[in-house]
Amino acid sequence: MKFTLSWLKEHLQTNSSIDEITKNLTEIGLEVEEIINPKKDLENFVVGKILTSEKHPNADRLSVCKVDIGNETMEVVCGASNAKEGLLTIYAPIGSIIPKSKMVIQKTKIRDIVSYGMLCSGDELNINNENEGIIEIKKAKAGDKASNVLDDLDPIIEIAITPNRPDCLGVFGIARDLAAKGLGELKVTKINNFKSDSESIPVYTKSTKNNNFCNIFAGRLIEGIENKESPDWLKNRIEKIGLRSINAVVDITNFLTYDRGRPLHAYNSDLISKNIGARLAKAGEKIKALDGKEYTLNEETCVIADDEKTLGIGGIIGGEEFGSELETKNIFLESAYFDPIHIARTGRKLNINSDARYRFERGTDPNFVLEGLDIATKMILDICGGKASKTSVATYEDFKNKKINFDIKLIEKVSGIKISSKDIKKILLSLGFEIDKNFKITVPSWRPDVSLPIDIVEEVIRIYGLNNVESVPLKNSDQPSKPILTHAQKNINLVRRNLASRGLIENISYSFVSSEFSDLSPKGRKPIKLLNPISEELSDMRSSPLISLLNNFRENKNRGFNDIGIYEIGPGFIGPKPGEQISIAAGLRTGIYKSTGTERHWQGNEKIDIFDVKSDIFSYFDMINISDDLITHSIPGTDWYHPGRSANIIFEKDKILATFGEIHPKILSKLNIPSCVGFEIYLDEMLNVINITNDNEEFKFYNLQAVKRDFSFDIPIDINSSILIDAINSCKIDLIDDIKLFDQFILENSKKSLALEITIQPKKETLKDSEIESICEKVIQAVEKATSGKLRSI
Amino acid sequence: MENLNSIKEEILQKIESAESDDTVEEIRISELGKKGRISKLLGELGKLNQDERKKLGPEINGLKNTVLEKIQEKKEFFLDQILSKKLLEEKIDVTLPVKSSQNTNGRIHPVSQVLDEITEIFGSLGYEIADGPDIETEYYNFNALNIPESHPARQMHDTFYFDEFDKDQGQSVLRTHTSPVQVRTMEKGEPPFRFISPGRTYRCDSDQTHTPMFHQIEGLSVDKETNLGHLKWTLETFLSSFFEIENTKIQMRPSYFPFTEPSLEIDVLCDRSGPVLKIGEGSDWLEVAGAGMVHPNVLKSANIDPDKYQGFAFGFGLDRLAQLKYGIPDLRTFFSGDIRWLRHYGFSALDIPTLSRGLKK
Repeated sequence: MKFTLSWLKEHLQTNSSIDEITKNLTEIGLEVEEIINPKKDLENFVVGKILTSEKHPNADRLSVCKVDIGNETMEVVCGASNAKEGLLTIYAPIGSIIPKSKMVIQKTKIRDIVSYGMLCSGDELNINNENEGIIEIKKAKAGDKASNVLDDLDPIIEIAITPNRPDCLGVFGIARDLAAKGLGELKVTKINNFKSDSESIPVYTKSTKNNNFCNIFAGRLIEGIENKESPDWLKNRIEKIGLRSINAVVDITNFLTYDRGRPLHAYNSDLISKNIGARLAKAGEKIKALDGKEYTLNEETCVIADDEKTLGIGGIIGGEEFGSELETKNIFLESAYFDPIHIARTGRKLNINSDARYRFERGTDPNFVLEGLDIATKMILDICGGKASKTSVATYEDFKNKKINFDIKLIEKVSGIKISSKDIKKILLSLGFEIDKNFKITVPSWRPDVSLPIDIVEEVIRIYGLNNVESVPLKNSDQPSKPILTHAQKNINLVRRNLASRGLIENISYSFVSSEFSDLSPKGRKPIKLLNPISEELSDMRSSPLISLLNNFRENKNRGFNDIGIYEIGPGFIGPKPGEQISIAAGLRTGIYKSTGTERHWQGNEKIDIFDVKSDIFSYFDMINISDDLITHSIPGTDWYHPGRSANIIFEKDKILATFGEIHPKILSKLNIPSCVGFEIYLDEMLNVINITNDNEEFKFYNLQAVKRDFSFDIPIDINSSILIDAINSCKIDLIDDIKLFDQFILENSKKSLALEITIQPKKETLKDSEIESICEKVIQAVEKATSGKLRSI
Repeated sequence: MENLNSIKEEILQKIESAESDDTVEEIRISELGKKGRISKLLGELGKLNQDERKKLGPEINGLKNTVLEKIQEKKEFFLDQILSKKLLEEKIDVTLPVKSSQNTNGRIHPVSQVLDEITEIFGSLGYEIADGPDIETEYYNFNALNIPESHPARQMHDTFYFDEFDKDQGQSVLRTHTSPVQVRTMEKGEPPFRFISPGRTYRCDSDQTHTPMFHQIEGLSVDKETNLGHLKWTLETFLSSFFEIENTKIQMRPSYFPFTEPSLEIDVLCDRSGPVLKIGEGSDWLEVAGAGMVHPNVLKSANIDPDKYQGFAFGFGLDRLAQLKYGIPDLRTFFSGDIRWLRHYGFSALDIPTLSRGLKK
């Protein structure tokens, strides 16, 4: 919302400076976004008199001027065609800042001639829209301060209006708020009701109990006008705030929109047959609107229509052919109250943004419909002449002001500020509220946002000043805190820091990916698509952060980084409903980014393999004391991975805690990336394990020396080592403390040899040789039975 | 006597001029060995009378000790020589680089780090952390937060929608803020409440200062008496602690959010005069948060009696806090996954922020 200081002063009697006004606007919740204050901006600018103007020797359109700026003469290169000898204009000295472009003026060589400063146009000075030629000044002498000779230095203020404050979408409403804050007095002028004998066109509204889309529809005929270009003051008002002046009638309706937040529409009444009003459109009804576009309407759209034609979309935009042109002699001036919800829905559906929609969907003042009509009528008569008819009004139901029972104690309870009842009353009254002796408050018709006692609290403290709120420590905030993280949150922290400690770099990527990625899985998954993605690259919800990492690898590879190790902890989506997401820690290692060293090194470097990512998972398992006997492998892993080089880590038969492996070659070729290894840890499932882990086991000392024995077995090549370990574990030999697989080599005849070290820990007394032998024998038997292998050596 | 002296001279001369350890050993055997010259002299002492023995005994023993000492000295000299030679041969290039430590190669994303810092602060004030789903329903994202359909505020949220509809809950959306977590958490528990809810949020918006996904952190404190003064104290305390400056000054301005009443925007004192923005000094204000008293309708949505309970809520942009604290210029780079950026702005795994050591590295 933009307005000028002089416009504000039409409604506010004040001596406050522009600085005070803008500071207070922000303090009462009307946040100032920009102030254009030409007087301040033009402090260093002076009047310059062009003494001579010669054509630039190296440029056709430029001239070189000698400019008298009072105490000296400057040579300035200028591009304006009106830079003639004798002209008085505004000179911007070196070091000054051009208000519009914020350009700093420097000594510049322009086609070999040095220009000392600049001659400016009105547009560049931010004082009018004239950008053809430099500004021409009369009645001044060279060297005068620009701010003393220019007469159009009205500051422009732009404020952000929150959606709850439609009353401040008019300058009058802003003035009322400032007056309440104590910055002056609100000027209230009452327009006399029009008396007229001539009849208007009959009006109607087809609002119903269930659909009160237009509660009031009013208007009147004004005939015999002479529409014209607006007078300078009006043109100036609306052009200053960035609107285009069209003709007096249209400008007046726009003026009322910005002056009083009251949208109006003026139809060419010669084109209207009998009975104008608001009804719902017929399905498929079409209208060509003032924006030049054709809209197809449905039965939920409110239109303005006479008996034959559709004249406009109610509260949003008028029809193209029925508007007021310069030649228009007779008009019907409409003023109505449209339902905010209805307007919002229609506006969104048709995707039309207009000043009218903006105000109606936030809520206009229902009690100002007729007064607004009268003010505009008077202006039209003053400027364009003509004769106004009676007002015709159709009302569906009477508007009743809201009433709130208020307990003033609530103010202190909510804000902590003590405000006297007198001050509270004063603030509310100045905002237009009425208060009876029991503090029952009547809400003014222009405040649709106020309906609860808490809303009254806000009104009072925002005007009283939030800077009066004093800090109060929260209760118990000085106590040592108890642990606050849940198991899940603690676990995420642990995973995050553990993975980073293994050389992996944490990434955070968008939760959405391109559809190219969403169904990367060779088996295919049902993609979860956004209805309105921001771009094709971000159209589907990812099913795992691993997908983001693959995408990320491709991008980094294209930047020349082939060896990376990255991870991400975040959601993977399994469905489009709340809760259909799982928390995953995914990681990816590429090139030579191994868990033991991440770059080329003179001590040698190998390519990554799945055991790098497997160790990422197991280093975390170690941290939370998950022992090997709690988990099993299931082969292969999920379908992202190479079926022969991947596995799931399973807990209690069916809970997948993690998965790892080489990325499936099909995915690699689809993404055009080299072989890489990845993992996913399913953090929600991990909670099943974490909760049962008891890490407070007592440490047991054994003074007896442990015995170590090495075994080597030849077994079929496709028997996994885990079968061998499981076989030994299943013997449940209490004295076996540790089993280490320390060597593997591949034999001929589809066999391989695995070497194990078994630690036997005597607990009560030293073991006899025969006892050790018996344990070894049990181990050998168990392994041979489970693997159909043979002991090679012991 | 002269005899002993000349023997001594002669032996010491021999030791002195010996050229190897072997020669020294030969000298030792020939002088001090079983049949050596000095051993012999000692052997002959027994044949002398007591007086002579008393006189010659110490002299011969003295000779023996001197010779032994010199031999040891010389032997050590040769051993040292051999060792020095060996050590010289064993020399390696100690300037070769080591493998970089995995601890320092790894990185924590600045958003995670800043979240850990914030958790420390609010944890110390007794706030828990509440989580909620990224995909929400219109009910929790809007209606329960006092944003009914067609409310103009819905347009301020450029919402992502899914083709999924529930007749009670409305359409599925990507949450546009973390506020739905307020309602979900309060629904499940009983007041008093004190929690923060960080997380991913989404809006259909993209330019230099907006990314379609970003992070918010919201805080809520509801009990019977929490008021705006407590809110002010909480935010001042948080900002002072987070930016590690004493007594951060904040300014509260009235604003509007449907789910709070009154609603405020929070500015923190800052200095823009230098090349780097400084928080907590100067005379400018920088908007850092939205806040307010929880709207009675929101409490009602969560089945809490607004006549008995009240409290405040506030929200920060997590990414923005990271930008401000660590001077990261462009928001879009946060989610670009550029390995160079992550290495530069990321934190080591061992940089665990705690209040006792200070939150900064």
